[in-house]
Amino acid sequence: MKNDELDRFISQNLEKYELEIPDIVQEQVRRRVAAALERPLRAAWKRSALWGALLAAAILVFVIALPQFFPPVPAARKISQIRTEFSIPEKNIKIIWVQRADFQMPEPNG
Amino acid sequence: MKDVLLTLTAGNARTLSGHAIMGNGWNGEMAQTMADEKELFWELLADRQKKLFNFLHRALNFSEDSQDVYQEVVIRAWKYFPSFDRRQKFSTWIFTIAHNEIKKYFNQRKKEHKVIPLELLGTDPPAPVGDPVVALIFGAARQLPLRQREVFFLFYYNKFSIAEIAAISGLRQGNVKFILSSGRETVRRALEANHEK
Repeated sequence: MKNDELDRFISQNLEKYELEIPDIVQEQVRRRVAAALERPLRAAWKRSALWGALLAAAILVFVIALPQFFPPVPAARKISQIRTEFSIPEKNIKIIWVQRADFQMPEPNG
Repeated sequence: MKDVLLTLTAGNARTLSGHAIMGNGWNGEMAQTMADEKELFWELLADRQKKLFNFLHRALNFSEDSQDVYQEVVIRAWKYFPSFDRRQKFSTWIFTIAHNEIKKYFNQRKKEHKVIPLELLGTDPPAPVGDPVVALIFGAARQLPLRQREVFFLFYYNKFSIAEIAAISGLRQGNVKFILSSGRETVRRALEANHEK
């Protein structure tokens, strides 16, 4: 027998015998599908609870860590006084000049 | 076996994109679309389930375990149907799942029985057929190793092309041809031996 003929012969003979799918198998498939359809609903609750807890924890961590990344900006400082020192060591003289914002020149007498 | 090549513009796939674009009552309509998808799955399976069941039955040497494997294949395919690439042929896709489930079944069996006890050897029931020629072909196919047996039935019984069998089994086309030729010769020898008797 040639290859093509043999191929046809095998195919035809294999098709002669076919089993029907047992009803019990079909029924079990239906039952498992129905169970699988219910399961995601229950799992969804668990999943959302888990995600909720994770989200709360993440927010907490973020709030705690926030000052580390963004430290409060200090208020602009004001210069309250300027201190200048002059020193003449050979004459043993040291002059300290302090300028203050609230310094008032004394009124000249008279 | 009817093989429908699904495209994104056909049937339920169109419904899916239509609902997604409209966006009115999205949740309800998506649920409806998903239900349509599942419905489509059963329609596509209906044309092929008998061939699928018989393929598994034959590949597993007429063992009753093929019923469990069939269930696994259908459930797995049903579960992953939404991710099924519509450019692919449904039959190729579901038989790829079947191929993987057969492999899984044999691996599990190997794990359970690292050394196969004598009483388990040869316990697969004989081919339950009356026709002596058919029984002879089944007998010859049974002598083939699992992978070869799968290829043999995919080609001769399920009528897949060599390219499709290569896609299903993950073999190269050259290997598929070699396996088929070896299977053909096994059957030829069995037929000749029977003829001589």
